[in-house]
Parts: sequence; structure tokens; C-alpha cells
Amino acid sequence: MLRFLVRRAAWFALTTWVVITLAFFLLRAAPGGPFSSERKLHPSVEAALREQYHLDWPLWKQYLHTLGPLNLDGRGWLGDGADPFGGVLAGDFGPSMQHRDVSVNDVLASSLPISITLGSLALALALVLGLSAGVASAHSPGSKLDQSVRALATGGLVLPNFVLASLLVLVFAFWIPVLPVAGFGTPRHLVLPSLALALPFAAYIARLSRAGLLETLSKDYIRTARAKGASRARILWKHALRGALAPVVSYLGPAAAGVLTGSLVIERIFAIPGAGTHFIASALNRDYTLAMGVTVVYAVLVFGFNTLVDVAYTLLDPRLDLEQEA
Amino acid sequence: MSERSASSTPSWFRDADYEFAAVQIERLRPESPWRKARERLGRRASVRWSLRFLVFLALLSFLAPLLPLPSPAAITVAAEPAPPVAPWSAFGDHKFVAEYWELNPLDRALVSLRTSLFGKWRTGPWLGTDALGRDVLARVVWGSRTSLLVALCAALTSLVVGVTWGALAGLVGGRLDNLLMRIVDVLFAVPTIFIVIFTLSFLDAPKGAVGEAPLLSREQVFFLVVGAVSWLSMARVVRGQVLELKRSAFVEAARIAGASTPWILRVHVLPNVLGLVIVNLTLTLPSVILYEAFLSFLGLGVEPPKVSWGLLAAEGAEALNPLESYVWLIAAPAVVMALTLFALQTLGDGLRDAFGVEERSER
Amino acid sequence: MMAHAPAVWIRRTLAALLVALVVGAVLASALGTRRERADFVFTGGGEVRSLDPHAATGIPEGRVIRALFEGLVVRDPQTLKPAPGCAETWEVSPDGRTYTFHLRPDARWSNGDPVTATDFVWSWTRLLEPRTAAEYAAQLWCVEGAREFATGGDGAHDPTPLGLRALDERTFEVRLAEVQPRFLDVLCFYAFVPLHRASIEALQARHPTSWGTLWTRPEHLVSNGAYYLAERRIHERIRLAKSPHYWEADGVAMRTVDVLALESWSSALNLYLTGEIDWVDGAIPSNLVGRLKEREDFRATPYLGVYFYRVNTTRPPLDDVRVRQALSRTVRRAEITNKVLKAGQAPNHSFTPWGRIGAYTAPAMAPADAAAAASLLAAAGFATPASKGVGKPFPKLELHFNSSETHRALAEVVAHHWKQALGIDAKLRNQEWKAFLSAQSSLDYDLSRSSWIGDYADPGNFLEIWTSDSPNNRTGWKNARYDELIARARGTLVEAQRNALYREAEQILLNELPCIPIYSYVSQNLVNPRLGGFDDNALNEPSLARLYWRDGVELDAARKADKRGKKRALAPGPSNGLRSPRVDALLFEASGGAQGRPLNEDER
Repeated sequence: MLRFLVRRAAWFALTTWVVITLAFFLLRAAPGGPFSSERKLHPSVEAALREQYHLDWPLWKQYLHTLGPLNLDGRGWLGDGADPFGGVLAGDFGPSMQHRDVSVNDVLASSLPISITLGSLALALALVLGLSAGVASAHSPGSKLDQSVRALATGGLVLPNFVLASLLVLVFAFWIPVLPVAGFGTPRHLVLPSLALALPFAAYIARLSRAGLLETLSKDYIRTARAKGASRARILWKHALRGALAPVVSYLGPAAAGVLTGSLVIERIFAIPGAGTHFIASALNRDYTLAMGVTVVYAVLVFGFNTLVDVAYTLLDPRLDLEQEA
Repeated sequence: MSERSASSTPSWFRDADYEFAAVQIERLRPESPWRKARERLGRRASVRWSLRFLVFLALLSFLAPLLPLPSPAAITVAAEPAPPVAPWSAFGDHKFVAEYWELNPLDRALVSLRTSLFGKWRTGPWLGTDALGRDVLARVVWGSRTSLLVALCAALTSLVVGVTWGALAGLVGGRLDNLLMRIVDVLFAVPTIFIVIFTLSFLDAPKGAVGEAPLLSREQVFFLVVGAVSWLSMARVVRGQVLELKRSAFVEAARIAGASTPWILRVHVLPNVLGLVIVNLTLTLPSVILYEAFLSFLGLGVEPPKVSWGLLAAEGAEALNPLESYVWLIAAPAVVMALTLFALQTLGDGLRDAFGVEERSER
Repeated sequence: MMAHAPAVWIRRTLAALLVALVVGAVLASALGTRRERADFVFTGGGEVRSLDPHAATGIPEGRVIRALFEGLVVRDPQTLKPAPGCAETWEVSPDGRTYTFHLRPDARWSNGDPVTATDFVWSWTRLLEPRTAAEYAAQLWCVEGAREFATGGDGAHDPTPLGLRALDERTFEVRLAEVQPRFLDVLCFYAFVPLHRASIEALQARHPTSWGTLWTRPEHLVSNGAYYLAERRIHERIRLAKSPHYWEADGVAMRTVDVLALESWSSALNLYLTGEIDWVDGAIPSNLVGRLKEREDFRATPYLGVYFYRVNTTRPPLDDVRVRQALSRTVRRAEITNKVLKAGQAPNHSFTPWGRIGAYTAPAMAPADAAAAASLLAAAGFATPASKGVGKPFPKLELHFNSSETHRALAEVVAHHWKQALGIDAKLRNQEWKAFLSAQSSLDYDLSRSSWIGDYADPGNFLEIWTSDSPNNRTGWKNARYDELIARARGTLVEAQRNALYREAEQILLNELPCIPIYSYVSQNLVNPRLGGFDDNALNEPSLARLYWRDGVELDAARKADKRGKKRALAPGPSNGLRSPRVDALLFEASGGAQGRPLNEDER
């Protein structure tokens, strides 16, 4: 286990480095810069801005400065009180280039908890809805219940999430006005966005768990349990679910990445001040520092969650060996 | 599926001669997955209907230029979108104007064939028109081309790159396996939307003079990018399956019995992997179609006046508000999209059951 | 067989984790800020770029900064003329070079300090400093010594030669190096407000490197306007609270104002319809305009903005003026404004929006005429639908625009017009904003969409972008006579003479057509009808300090006076939870049962 984690950590470092490098060079190579605007800046103003954000440096120096952990600003080493460390590796993403009076760390600190709240709620909701639907439909395969659950589950997967979200708003905020249309602040505000975010994943989990359950139900040890006189419900919940959980758990990795991507749309429609909004906006605005910040955070979240899932997966199925997997 | 614990050499095999082994191999080897699959598949009505629907859609989409539809780009500026009209009250009129974007030679030929077949006759606004007076039905049919093409493109890369990658990793194993799979992991962690935004802006290369075409059209760039990111999950799934097959009893037995690697590949590995590949494909396609919609929502979709379902849905989603009631603008693309994805899923389910593949996710 | 213990363990952990996730999420959101609804809530689009008046340049930023700070002069929200702000009176020397401002004795910062002339000297010096990198600094370059100061090498400059002086605590003198006839109009812009020197310098001393991102935080920002910054949540909302030290605090009705950052217009609309927002300003999807126009709360007012296509005059055949004329004369502008945009925009036949600004009347360009256009194109040597194969085929044009639904629809329609009238194929090329700007700057386009919004009501604001050395020209078009006329107009104090020069220049522009003007903008506001003091003007700059809630009597009177007729649907009443100090009681008496209902019956 320890060896696995150490290896994963090494890969994690490599992944982060690749993502930083890729993001850095993609951003610089894209046409347009953070300070281009319809009303063109006066050259002296633009030069001053470029200097302020070190865009006048040679590319390699900008790269090392962005990467960190040393602050190449020069000032830091002259004893003027600046932090000698900086850059992504020191956990400092620098000032945002688009929002000139906030730092990227400020932006992330205020938006990330919101996105994580929404994302984990959506994942939890997807698991609860998906598993219950899966169990219900595996309880009596082929029945009306099974068929309707399966149709519903497929329904969650066939519409783009922006259509789904707009429909939910229309129904639950206007036709049956019980929930707020948009915004953030109370638990009620979270209901519609997390539902819109969770539905496609709930649908997928329902399918996965149904298939897993039916597969497990045909195994010997289930037959043994049944022979001993256990009820079907008890068998489902007590014995079969464990075996059926493995594919669901392994799906959580991609699902987490999907929830993150989905939140780009959902946060916009529901006006939620999460990190998803910055994701597209920073790339489109060529806000180099903020784009770097959100990309690194995204990569770390996805990688971290995948590792977590791998660990959970092995715990569920002891036949798998982490040493081998790593 | 076979038990994974069977990966060690069975004890009864140690002293057996080849003849005996051959019989045992036959017994261990599952019956041809293809025949079994075909039998099981035919039994389900939902699967049959899904397949019919998809074939019909593919035909419709391929033959779009030949159909007597109004042109999807012909603008008749009207102040308001017009609601759908029942075919029996307005079956059609003779006002067809051939106004398209730059078509490829085949489509051009189809369009001229259409004009000679139907003349200026065109269908009425059965699904209504949008704010620029363009026929929604025609746009949905033409839009299917982009969406299906994106899906097809993703399918091809998944097949070519994804399967090769995964199979290579699984078969060779060891260090190469580790390397290949970590590359996939790293790529998974790179946000694709980021790549999409930037690739679209680089490859949209500047041109020097009026009338010169850019290096790659936006659509081509789009296909490239979608293809480039859609093979990752396929690689993972295939590798997992190959590893499992490698450890399975019948492959082990065949190897000990002296079968050559190509023979094992062809007879044992390929058929068993193919089922999974097909199933995985039918699951990838819906997600790619939805991804196209997602990109269109962000304004990164196809270049107008071309259309795609995603674009239509993104445009129509505006109609989903408490004030306006141009429902047909969203209903039309949403319904066909839902039907197509539904059919793809049903087909995927059917295939999965038919091939007896465990539903697994792209780990 | 599977080992039992870890499986049970993992299932329990998973269940516990699930519960923890849900409880945590709900708690986190509940602990989040459930605040009272502000007296007045509005949105003007996404998150403001900056609250630093020297760094910000946009319109949403302006709304907040003008509520927080007050410059020497402010625009009267009805006439848009400069009116006394922080300065009570001022004198201009006869040569137009020296301005002396007398500050109000009761002008105070939100911490109670008096606003002094030194504050202005310090702030304007900061604005001009190259290090500040302020976009609007160039507007002050007419001040003595300012240009040298701003463009000179870093560190080598000395602020004394600047023509800014504090004659005493309350007298501020500005000496100009060159005549600027619209200097007072320029000063109405929010970049020229004073900043509180003491608090910023104290912060600089404590945080030498990060003060730049700290000083605009609520706990540090000291302002001199009607409001102070009470709270700022990035990408969510800015809460402004009434400043008790503002000299006209008695006239400010809204105690608190929330500015929401909303990326999507449809969520803004939804929030408005449920009464959560009182004013939405934004480009309304054209599909919705038809329905919104029927409502009493939709207000479209002529706006100082022009929508046009730039023509790359360096690329043949667009370097031929006849081709540009032909393209311009086949655009059916009225069809675009009446059937595509529909909100009241006007077809533009000059570059100046609405054909006139104040006393200036723009010349008109050649009228739309498909036949004349075709003969122009034929004269340039190209085949037209009527020429029966005579002439070379016109190459495929590219119409370049930035990703947005409205721009796309317009480009599709214009391409359709050209195809119909001239047989010209125009391909559409859509780029995301920054790539679009970069392509436009490097003249990598054939025709490119653009717009221009005026800072104040003056034709020079629009015509100056077409001079040869203007960075905003971006078409490759150069005309020496035009440059000369604009330069002369700039230094002319008498308005009538100035306008004559502008008129002559614009006539050149309209003959040469490096740009194809399409339409003049309207501002599109959804405003709660109960809101009083909301002045419609050509810059869409109502004064937040003048807003109040109208009582039932006043509302009824206004509804009767509304010329737009009876069929307008009534807007929703203010929602529950609205607490306005002055009309709280009146509201309940007047709107009765309508409280908090999302829509009126007739709209369901």
C-alpha cells in the first residue's frame, strides 16, 4: 500500500508538471493576450502592464517564474519584504491579469469551496439516486418497476445538461414555484443545480449497479445465502450490493471529472460563484495566471480522486493488488 | 466471465499430452461470441427498433441534400419564428432556393439530383422556422450530419488509437504497459475543454488574401480535437480486458499447448475484445454527441451557416424561459437528440447483454 | 471468496462519507452568507474587472465606481452635461487653459476625513504614473507636463512640473498644455475621481508587494461617493452601503445596493422575473425582444454606440472604394433593425450613431441601392448577377466576427444580402474574443465586426478612431485630409466651428468607407416600474444615488402618463423581503396581494 502511494505520488508530480507546462505554453501560444481589448491600449500603457506581469521577460524565465518554487521577481531577494518563494509549486499563482485587484489565490479561495460543495453534493446525490434505482430495478428484473427505472435512467443521459437545467428551472421555479431560480446562499439554492448536475451520473450509476447486481446474484455464494432462506431484499442489500459496488466505485473517478466539467455549464445557468465560471472565462480572456490556477486545481482534483477510487476499489475487491496496478 | 483466479496453471495439466490438451482447450474455450451475440441480439424488440431507427437516421443524414427539404441556410428574414404547420394543411410549396455553404462534390451532385427530381418543390414548415425564417426540419436533418460525423470520427479514433494503445499495453505488459497507461492518466488529468479552446484558436490559421481558404476548417479542427480526446477510455477498457484474457484459463491452456501468439490473438483475444469494444463504442458515441452540444453551448461549435444538433439545442435553450413560447426551437433538436441517444443506449445495452460483457467503466 | 471484513468496513465508510458529504455541503451553504436583500439590486453582466478607478475601463465597473467615488464634476443623468460633483464651482480662464475647481466644504471620505485638493493632485499623479498602467491616463495628457511624465523613463521623473496644484485645502488648479474643449466632459469619467491617499499609503507601508490587490477590499477601501463598499464576494455580488458622510446623504434613498455578477442573461432574466433583481441591463436575445417590448418594464433608449463592419482596405479587391461602396449599399439595414434586432435600434447611415450627437448633425452616406451597387461592382471589373458572365468572378469574402449569437445572426443576414444583390459569397468566420481581437489588430480579416461606444456625447469620440495613427483604426485606411481635419477640430474651442470640421471629415469617411456602419445601439433595460429616479440617457448611466421606490399614487400616475398604451403587461411587484426606508409602508399599502408573486395572472 505504501509503495503504491509513493509511486502514485511520483506520477502525481509528473502529471502536475505536464499539466503546468502544457497549460503554460498553450496559453502563451494562443493568439491575443490578456491586455488586448476592443479599445486598444496605448503602447506605453501596454508596456507598463506587460512589465508589471513580467510578460516582457524571455519565455523560459516566465516559465520558471510561473512554475516556482522560487520567486524570480528579483525583489524578493533584495530584502524588501517580498516572499522569496512563488509560483505554482509554492502554492502561489500570482495576481489575476484580468481582475486586476484580486490574486488568483483569492479567486480560488472564494470559488473552490463552492464548486466542491456543489460537486460533492451532486456526486452524493448521484450515488444515492443511482444505487436506489439500481437496486429497485434489480429487485425484480423485467418488471414494470424495472422497466420504468431503466427508462428514467436512460432519460437522464440523453439530453444536454443545459437543456436539462433550463427545464428544471422552468418546472420547479416557475410552473411550481417552490425553489429559487438561481443564486447561492441557502441549502434551497443548491437543490436544482446539484440535481441537474447529478442526473446524468445517477442514470449511469443506476445502469452500472443494476448490471452488477444481476451479475452478482447469479454467483454461488448468493445461491447459498438464498438456500439458507434469506429474503431477496436482504440478499440484495446485504450480500449482492457489495459485489455490485466495484464497478460503481471505479466509475466515480471519471464521474468526478465529469461533474467538474458539467459544473462549467451548471454554474453559469444557476449563477453560482464557483470555479467553473473561471475555467472558460480565464482561457478565453487569456488570463494566464488564473487559467493556470484553475487548470492545475482541476488536474489535481481529478488525479487525486482517481487515486482515491483506486484505493477504494482494492479495498472492495481484495483480489486486486495495488502493487500490480501501480 | 471466467474466474480470474484461474490464472495459475491448472494442476491436472502437468502430465497431459497434447491431444488431451486440445480437447480440454475446446471445452474451455467459450463458444463463438459472434454467433451467440447475434442470436441474443435478435430476440429483443427494443434493440431491433433502435437499430432500425439509427440506420434510418444515418440514411436520412447522408441523403439530406437529396431530400425535398428547404435549404437549411436560406434566410427569409421575418420578425418572429413561425410555429410548426401540420403537413396536411401546408404540405409544401414551390419556393425552393438552393442556398448552401460550400459543399463537397458528392453533396453538390446530390443537390443537383434533387433539383432535377423535385424541381422547386419543397416541404412546408412542418417543424416551424427559426427567427431568420430557416426551416427547423431542414436544419435538424442537416444538423444530424455534423453530430453523427463527430460521433463517427470519435468512434474511428477510439477504434484505431484506443484499441491499439490498450491492446499493446495489455499484451506486452511490464514497463511498456505502465508507461502507456500513465500517459493515459496524465492526459485524463488535462482538462480537454482547455485543449479545445486553444487548438481551435491556433489552427484557425491566418490567411494572406481575400478568397484564400485557411489550412483547416473549423469543423476539421473540431473533429480532430474530439477524436484526440475520445480514445482514452477505450484504451483503458481494452487493456483491462486483454489483461484478463491473458490470465484466463483457455488462453493459458492454449499457450501451454504450444499455440502461437498470432493464433491466440486471432482466435481467443480478438473476438472477446471486440465485443467489449463495440459495447464501449455505443457508450462513447452518446457522450461525444453531448460533448458537441456542450461546446456549442460555450460558443465553440461549428462555423455558421453550418448547423449541428448542439448548436440548435444551444440556440433553442433560450426558448426555455417563462416569457417566450417558441417551444419548437428547442423541442425539435432535443427530441431527435434524445431519440438518437436513447437508441444508441438501448443498442449498447443489447450488445452488452449479447456479448455477456460486464458493464464496466473506463478505469 | 472475498474477505468479509474490509467489505463491510468500506461499505460503512462509504455510507458515512456520503452522509458527511451531504451534511457538510448543506451546512457549508447554510453557513454561507444569508443576507438581507438589499434595498436595490441590479446586474450589468459579469464580474467587474477591478474596483481601482485607474485600472478599470468598462461599463459595469463604471456603475460601481461612480457609486463609490465622486469626481470634481459628474454627468447630470438627464442632460449628460457636466454638473457639480465634488467641486461646487469652477472657473475657466479665457484661453481655456486653466481650470480652477473649488471643492465643497462638506465633501468627505467615508471615514469622515475631508476631501482636499491634495487628494486630487495625488490621485491624478498616480493615474499618470507609468507604473499604474492606467488606460485612461492618456485623456489627461493635455495637462502640462503630463505626457512627458507618463511616457518618460521609470523613476527618472519628478512630479513638480505637472500642471496640477493644490492652491489651498479646497482649491485645485489644473493647467492644460493644449486646449481641450471637452475637458469637463472628460473629467466626468470615473478614472478621474480622487483616491484616499492616507489609507493607501498606510497599506503600502504594511504590504509593500501585495497592497495592489488589497486596497480595494471592503476593509481597506475609503471612498468619497454616496456609497461605501460593504462587502465583495468575487463573482457573486458587491454590496454597497450608504455613506453617512456623503455631502448629499439626505437625498440618497437606497440604504444598500447589491450589484450581482451574472454571466448568463437568461439567469438574470429569471432572477428579475422572480423579483430578486430590480434592474437588468444587457443584450437581450433577439428572440425575446418581441415579448419583452410588450411589457411596461422594458425600456429601450437610444444609446451612444455604433455597430459596423471594418473593411480591410489593404487587401484587394477591398482596396477599391467602389467595391466597398457596393458592399455598403446592398446591406438592407432597416430589415436588420426591424426584423432581426427589433428592440428599437436604428439603421445607421453615418458613422456617428443616430445621425446626430447634441448640436452635431452627421452627413449621410449614399443610400442603399442594389442596382447602383451592381454597376459599381461591374465598374470595378467584377461579374454581377446582371452582367451575364462579363467580368471576373468576385473572390470569396470572409466575414469575421466574435462568437456570439447576435453577431452570428447578423453576419448570416448580411452575407445573405450580398449573395442576393451582388452574387458575392461570404464565408463566416467566428473566433473567440481574444483571438478575434488579435486577428483584427494584425489585419488578418476581410471584413470584421466592430462596435464603438462613446465616453461622452461628442462626435470627436467616434471620428477620432479613423485617423491614420489611431490604434483603433485597424483597417489600414489612411487619409491625410481626414487626419488634418480631425487635428484641427481637436483644438477648436467654438462648438459650431468644431462641428463643421467634424462634418467635413465624416463626409470623407462615408465616401471612402473603411467601415460599413450598420446600426445604432439602444440600451435595453428591464426596470422594476416601481423604481423612481431612474433616468434613461444615451450612456445608460442612471445615478444610483437618485433612485427611490415610488408609492402607489406616483406609480399609477406614471402608468397613466405612459404613452406606450394600455396593452403593456404589468410588471411583477417588488418581492417579499424588500426593505426600503422611505416607502416600506407605502409599498404594502399600494401593491396589496401582489407581494412576492412571480408573475401577474395574465402572464401565466
